[in-house]
Parts: sequence; structure tokens; C-alpha cells
Amino acid sequence: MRMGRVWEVALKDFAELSTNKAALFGLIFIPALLTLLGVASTYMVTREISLGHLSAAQAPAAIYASLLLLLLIPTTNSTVVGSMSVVLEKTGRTLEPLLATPIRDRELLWGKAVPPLAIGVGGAYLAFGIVFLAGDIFLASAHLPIEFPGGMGLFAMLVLATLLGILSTFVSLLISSRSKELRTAQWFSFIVALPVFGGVIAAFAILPHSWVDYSVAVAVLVALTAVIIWWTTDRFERVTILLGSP
Amino acid sequence: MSDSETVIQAEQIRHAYTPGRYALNGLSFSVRRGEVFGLLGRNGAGKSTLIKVMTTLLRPSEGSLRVLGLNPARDGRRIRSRIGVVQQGESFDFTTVEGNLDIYGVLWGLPADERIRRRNELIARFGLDDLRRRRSFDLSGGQKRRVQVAREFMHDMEILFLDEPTVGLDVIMRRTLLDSIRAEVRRGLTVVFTTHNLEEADYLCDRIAVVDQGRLLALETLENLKRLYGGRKTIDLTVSGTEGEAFYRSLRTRLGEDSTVTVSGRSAVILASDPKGALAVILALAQERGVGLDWLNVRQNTLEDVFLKSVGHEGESIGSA
Repeated sequence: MRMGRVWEVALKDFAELSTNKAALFGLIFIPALLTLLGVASTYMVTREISLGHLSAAQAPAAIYASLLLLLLIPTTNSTVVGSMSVVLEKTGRTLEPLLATPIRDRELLWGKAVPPLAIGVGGAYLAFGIVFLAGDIFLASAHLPIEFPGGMGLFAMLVLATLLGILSTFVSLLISSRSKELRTAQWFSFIVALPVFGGVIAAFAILPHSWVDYSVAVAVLVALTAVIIWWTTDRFERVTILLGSP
Repeated sequence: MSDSETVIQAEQIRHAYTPGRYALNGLSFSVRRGEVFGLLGRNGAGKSTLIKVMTTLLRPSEGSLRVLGLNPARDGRRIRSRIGVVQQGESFDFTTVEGNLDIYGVLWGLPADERIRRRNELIARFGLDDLRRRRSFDLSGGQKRRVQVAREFMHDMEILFLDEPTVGLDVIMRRTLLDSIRAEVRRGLTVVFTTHNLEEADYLCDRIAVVDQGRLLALETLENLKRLYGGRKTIDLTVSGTEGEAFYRSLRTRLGEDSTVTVSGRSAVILASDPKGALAVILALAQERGVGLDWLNVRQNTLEDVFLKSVGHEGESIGSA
């Protein structure tokens, strides 16, 4: 695989995306709103503890609940960008010249994967960074005897965000490559991505918060992601991309 | 390869986008090294599908195809590394002209110094110097086409496929582009070229395949195609008044099967094997019906007449494939 080719495809997609104002608005607005909600939630938790409405023992669960919401960012952003990626080029007939070059199917797939991954996972990293920083500041300024989830907590969230971003990206690229129009691609991509997101949320809401439980959940997600990457790589063929057949 | 000079060999290829509806329906032909092979046909005739099949973007549903001696189904990437394709769509609209050429250098794995050398040479050769830092998106249709063709020459190739490359070009630009393709053909390049424009097919092509409804109606050298109709002449006719339709209906009946009448409103193009006799029939009929003639002209057949004749008779072959 030649990285130069992968990078050229990615740059081309970034350039195209930068001109799509409606998509950009959605990609910025939802993460900004969720980040704001995350910051507000941590502030509320701090305030409730200060007022004695919430015990220090209940604090981590309340904080994690608000953080889990931020996992919507890699799910939605990667799905939106990934599902547009191939099908818009098909309908605009801009993919054919690229497919007629010696670029390998795998290089095209990974080049197409870079923008949804960067926008979904990168956006999530930024959001988590802001909320963790805000949480630290709120708790420190309230002089409460509890600590905001520290480095390991942040790491755990970033791992989940990365896995959800990769999974949503590859699922939506596969669906986009087989779809004939944008709405179908987005609809089916969300049908797959959102239940996975829901499963992650449910698992962490139900499970006791131990590192063993977390590791099991992450291992399941890693296995699912690996299967999706393998499946997408196997099915992402230029001949079927143009025909859009299932 | 069955013949060392044959670069494309198609045997009874068919392609169906949906089962039973063939966009290509049993095409057999060969393309020789160093020739300009024209694909002529109206919209939806199957030209672009044929280009996609030959450039490995689609697989034929049936039949056998060899490109540069290779099987497109198995050796797609090896074929793509030895061909160039200019299609109707554009992939790198948001990149500068210079960037467009660079990308093609990267896609074909050229080293950086070679890439820059070729890029600068092509920018000069295709008159793109003033546009080099402008994005393709901001260029006119003709300028975009020039960039699309120029970037294909960033890499070495044996066959260049051009899918209607002159659409949107003005007369001067069209001629410049055709001349640069001709220059490359003189250096040994094989060109497969689709067009609606009969003049440019006449100007550029060594052999012409007339395609309609996925079938090959004719495949001949330009000279042979014209010779097939050499005994005939074309009569252009425009009648006055509103009686055109009825007039041409009667004319068709009187001229019989030896002549072809293609009507468009008050005008018609008549391919006649006996032009003198046809003229006498036209004048007699006009007098009989009291129809005035606004325009009457007798001329030698052009490629356009050959094309109209060939696609006008569905399924009738006028040459040997």
C-alpha cells in the first residue's frame, strides 16, 4: 500500500468537504452542543455534591454518565462523513477517473477512511479534553474531597471513542460504496452505527465500573471492529462500487 | 496476445446493468497498436459503457476481452498502470491545476524530481501556465478538459481512452486538443476515442466503429465507410409551408427503398443512389402538391450521412467487424 496515494485521496475528500457548508455546520454543531452539555453536566454534578444532594461515592457514576454522551461524536460524525464519501462521488460521477488509475482498492478505502476518522475521532478527543479540563477546574475550585476521573479515565474514554469512530467509519464506507443515493447510505449507516453506540452506553450503564468489565467490553468492541474492517476491505471493490449492487 | 499488433481484442462482449437489458450486446472488434479508434454513436448507444469495460471499471457479463494481452477481470491493476483514461466526470475539482498534475504523478508512483519535470513540461505544452495556481473548480469547461488530458501525460501509457474529450471546448481549443492527441499518436500511442462530433472523428480516427443500442453497426476505415456510400449523394431539402410531414411521407413512398429520407421538421436529408432520379421525383411531387422549396442542395456524402444511415436502420450492419 502506497501511503502517498492514500494521502492524496484523503486530501481530496477534505478539500471537497470544506466546501460543503451544510455538512460542516452539522459536523461542528453537534460536537459543540455535546461538549457544552458535558461541561454543564460536570458543573451540575460538582454543584450537587457541594450542596449535599449527591454523595461523593455517587459522583464517579454521575460524571461517567455525562462523559458517555460524548461518544456520540465519533459515532455520528464518522457516520455522516463516511456515508457521504463514496455515494456522493458516484452520483456526481467524480469517482470514475480515480478508479481508472492504478490506485488499489485498499488504498482508496483507507484514503476514504481518513476524513471520517479524523473528524469523528479527532472531534471526540477535543471534546473529552475540554470536558476533563472543565471537570478538574470545577472540582478543584469547589475544594471537594473527590477527584475527577484522571488520566486512566480519559484514556478509557478515548479508547472507546476511537473504536466507535473506526467502526462507524468502515460500516458507513461499506454501505456508501453499495448505495446509489445519499439518503439510503446515511439511513442504513445510522441503522447499524447507532445500535452499536447504544450497546456501548448500555454496557457501561449496567456493568459495575471495574477495569475487568471495561476490558471485556473493549475486547468485544475490538473484535467487532476487526470483523467490520476485514469485511469492508474484502467487499470494497471498484467494480461493485460503480454498479452499487448489494 | 493473439496478434502482436493487437492491443484490444473483444469477442462477443455483452454487459447488462440489469439482468436481460444489455448496454453492450455482442460486440466483437480489435484495436491495433498506434491507431486512433473512434467509437461513434448517439446518447445511450453504449460508448461510455464500452470504455468502462475496456478500462476495467466494469466487467463484461459475457464474452472475452483482452487489453494489452491481459484479462481485465484478473489483471485490472496491471492494465490500469499502462493506460490513460479521460472521462466525462472530474475527480480533482478542488485542487489547483498544478496539484492535479502532481496527484497523477503520485498515483503512478513517479519520483518527485521526475514529477516536477513532467508537470512543468505539460503545463507549457498544454498552454496552462496562466492557470497553474487556479483550482480546477474555477476553470471553464474547456480549460478543465485541457487539464484532464494534460494530466494523463504525466505517466507513460500505451493506450489512451478519451470519452468525449472535446465536449464544451471552443473550435480553437478543440483543434489544439486534437492536434496534441495526433502528435502523441505519431509517437506510437494508441487512442480509443468516443464522440458525437463527426467532424472530429473524421479528423482524428483511422477506423470508426458505429455503435447503437449496444451493438456494432459498422466498423471500417473512414475511407471504406465513405466508399460504401460513394455511389450515393446527399440531397438537403427544406420545404416551405406546413405540408412538410405529408410531403415527406409521399416522397418516401415514391423514392422507395433505394433512398433514405431523414426528416427534421420542414427539412430532410435524403441519401440517394440515383440523385438525378430523386431530384426529378422531388420536383414533380412539389409541383403536384403545390409545395414550395426553400432550399435544395446536392452534395457528396459526409461521415454524418453515413452515421445517420447506419443508426437509422436498427440492427443493419453496413461493414465488417
